[in-house]
Amino acid sequence: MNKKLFVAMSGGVDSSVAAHLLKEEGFDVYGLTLKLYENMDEEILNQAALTAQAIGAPFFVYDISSEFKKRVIDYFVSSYMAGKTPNPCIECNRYIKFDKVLELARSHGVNSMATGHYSTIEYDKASQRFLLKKAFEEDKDQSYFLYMLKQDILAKTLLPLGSLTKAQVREIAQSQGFSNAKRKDSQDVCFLPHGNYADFIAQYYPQANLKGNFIDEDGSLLGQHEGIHKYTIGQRKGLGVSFGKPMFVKAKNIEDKTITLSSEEALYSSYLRADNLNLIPFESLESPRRFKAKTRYNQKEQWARIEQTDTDKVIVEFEQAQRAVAQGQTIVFYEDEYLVGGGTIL
Amino acid sequence: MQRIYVDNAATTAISPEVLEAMMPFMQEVYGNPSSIHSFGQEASAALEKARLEIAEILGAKSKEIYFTSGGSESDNWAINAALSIGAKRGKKHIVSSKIEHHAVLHVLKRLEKEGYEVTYLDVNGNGIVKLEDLKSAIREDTALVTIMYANNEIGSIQPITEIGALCREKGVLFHTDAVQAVGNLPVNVVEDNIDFLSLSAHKFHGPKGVGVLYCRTGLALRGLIIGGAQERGRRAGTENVAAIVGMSAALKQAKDNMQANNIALKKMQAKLIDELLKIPRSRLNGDPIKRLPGNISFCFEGIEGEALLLSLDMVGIAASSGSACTSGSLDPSHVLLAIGLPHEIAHGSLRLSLSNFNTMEEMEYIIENLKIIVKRLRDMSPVWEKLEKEANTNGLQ
Repeated sequence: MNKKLFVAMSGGVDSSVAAHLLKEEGFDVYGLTLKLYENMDEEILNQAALTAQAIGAPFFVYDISSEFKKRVIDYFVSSYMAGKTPNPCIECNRYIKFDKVLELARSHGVNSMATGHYSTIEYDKASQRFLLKKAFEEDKDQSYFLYMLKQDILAKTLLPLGSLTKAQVREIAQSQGFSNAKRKDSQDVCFLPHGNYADFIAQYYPQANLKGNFIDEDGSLLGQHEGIHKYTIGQRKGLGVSFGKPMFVKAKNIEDKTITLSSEEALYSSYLRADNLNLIPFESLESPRRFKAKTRYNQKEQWARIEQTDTDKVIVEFEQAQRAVAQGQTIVFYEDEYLVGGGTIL
Repeated sequence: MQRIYVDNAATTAISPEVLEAMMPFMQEVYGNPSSIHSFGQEASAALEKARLEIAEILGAKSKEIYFTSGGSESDNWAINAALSIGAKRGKKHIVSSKIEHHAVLHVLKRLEKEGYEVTYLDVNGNGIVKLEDLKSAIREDTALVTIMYANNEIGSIQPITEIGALCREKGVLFHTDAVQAVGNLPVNVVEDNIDFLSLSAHKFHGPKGVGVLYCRTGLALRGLIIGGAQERGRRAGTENVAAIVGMSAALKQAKDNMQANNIALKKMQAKLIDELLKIPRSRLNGDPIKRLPGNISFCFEGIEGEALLLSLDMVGIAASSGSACTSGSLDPSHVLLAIGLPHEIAHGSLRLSLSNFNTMEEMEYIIENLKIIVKRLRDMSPVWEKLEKEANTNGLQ
C-alpha cells in the first residue's frame, strides 16, 4: 500500500505543485486547507479544492479560527500594541499549522505531512537528528519561517520544493494546467491582505485614542503623531512632521503613547537577547559559537557570536552593529546551508 | 437487489438482543406498574431496574431519570422546565445555537413570540460553537443555555464539557439535546456539568417512542402531564414497560460495544469520506475530526438532494438529505446555511449515517453507485453545465 500523507494546501501555486509532486512520487495524497479566520477568501478554498480533486486527492477544510485568533491574531495585536514587531507567520507555524495538519492526519491514522515551503529537511545519521537546510534557490529560501520546528515535527514533514526553483515550480504548475500558475507571489500576512497593519489594529481599538507625542531620546517633546499603531521601528518616511534633520522611529511606548525618535546612528545596536529558542542540529549550544544570523526575513546574514544562557534563551553579539533590530522579530542563525536555530528578539 | 440502510441518524433497527429483552413484557409481564398485585409489582421492578441501569450508564442517579416518549418530548419539557425555574427570578433570556434540531429551535421560536429573548450562537465553518461567543452571550438574566451534544445533519460534536463548565461557573442552567450522541459517545452528565439532557432509544437500536429526560437533583422539574403518580407525579400515563426495558438493554449493549463499534464505524466512515472527496466539486460538511463516528455529510455541486436520494433508492441505498425531519421541504437546511454554504450548494446535500449493522462491502457498493449517479445527474443538470462554463472561463479545470 502507498504511504499516506496530508498536504497543507493554501490554494497557491507552491502547495499545489507540492501535492502534485508527492502524488507522482507514489504517495497517497490528502489535501487540506486550514480555515484560519472568518471571511477567508472563498477563491482560495475553491482553488485548493479544485487542485486537490484534479490530482485525485481527498480534500478537507479544517476550521481552526478560534485557535488561530487566540494564538496568532490576539498575540499579534497585543504584541504590536506593546511596541513590538511581531511576526504572525512564525507564531502560526509554531502553534497552529503543523500541529493542526498532523492532528487531522492522525485522525485518519496518517503520520506524515507536507507543505510547499522552499526549504529542505535532511536526516543526519551521525547525530541522528533531522536538519533544516536552505532551499536550492537561496532567494526563495523560507527556512527562516521554520526555525521553530522540533525534531518530532521535522521527522514527520516533507518539503518537496526545497530542491526546485520558483521558475521550475511555475513551469510544473503550467504544464498541469493549474490556474494559479501565474499568480503573483504574495509577501503579505494572510489576514493582512495589503499589509495594512494600522487599519487592522485600529479595528481592534475602535474607541481608543492612540494619538500621542513624538519625543527625542532625552524625553523632550518633538511634535504630535497620528496614532501609535501607525509607525514601525526604523521608519523614517511619513512621520508627518519635519524636524530639520532625518529622524527615525526608535521605540514605541503604549503606556504613555509616546514614540521616541532618534538619528539614524542611534538605531544601530550590536547586542540582543532572544527567547523562544529552538536549536535544530543539537539539543543545546554547549559553548558560545560564531554563526551567521539575520534579524529579519529579507536581510543579509551577518556574523555574530551566539551564547546560550538558558534552556530557551540566547544572547547575540553581532560583529557589526545592526540597524533597527526590533523586539518581537525573529532572529535565526545558520552554519553554511544549515539552519542552526533561532528565537524571538526580546 | 441489494438493500443498504445508511440512514441510522433518522432511526435504527432494533437489535435482536433488545427485541429478546422486550418480549416478556408484551404477553407475560404485562401488569400496570402502578398496581399493587404481583403482576404490577413485577412490571414495576423491571421499570425501576431499567431506570437504575440507564442512570448508571449516564453517570446519573436513578431518581434523575424521567421516561418520556422520545427526544422531542424531552427537549420540549427540559426547556419549559428550565424557564419556569428562571421565571422565579425574572430571567427571560435563552442562549442556543443556529444548528439545533427543530425540537429545540421551534420551541424557542414560540417562546420568542411569548416574550422571551433568544441568542442563537453562530458556528464555525465546521459546525462547532465558539466558546468565546457563548461566554459573551450569557447575561445576568439568562435562564438557560441549550446546545446540542452532536449535530444530526453534519455530525459535528460540540465542546460539551467546556460548555457545561462555563454554564456552571456562570450559574446558568444547561440543557443538551444528546439524541445523536448517546449510544455513540461516552456521555457523562456529572463530568460534563449537564443539568438537563434529552435522549431517544431508537437512535441506538432501541424501540421507537421512548426516551429519557435527565434532570439533575435539586432542580424543581415542573410537571409535564398531570393526572397520575407516574414519574414521581411529573409525567402521568401508564409507562411503556416493554419499550423502557428495551431502551435500557439497547443502551447497555451500545455502551459495552462502543469501543469496538466506533473503530469499525470510523473505518467505514473514512473509506466513504476519502472516496467521495475524490468526486470533483464535492465537499465534506462538518468537522473532519470532531464528528460522530457514523456520520458522513456531503454536498455535490450542481445536484439536487432529492434527485440524488431517489436515484440512490433505485439502487437500494437508503440515505437522507439533511435530516429526515426536513426532507420534503424546499428550504435548504438551516444547519448547512449556518456553516456558511451558499443556498445553491446547500440544496445538493447528502447524509449517510452508519450503524454497526453496516459492512465494508456495503461501503464499496455505495461508493461505486454514488460516483455513477453523481455523474449521471450532473450530465442532465443545467446548473452543472453553467458551473462548468464558469470554471472554464476562469481557467479552472
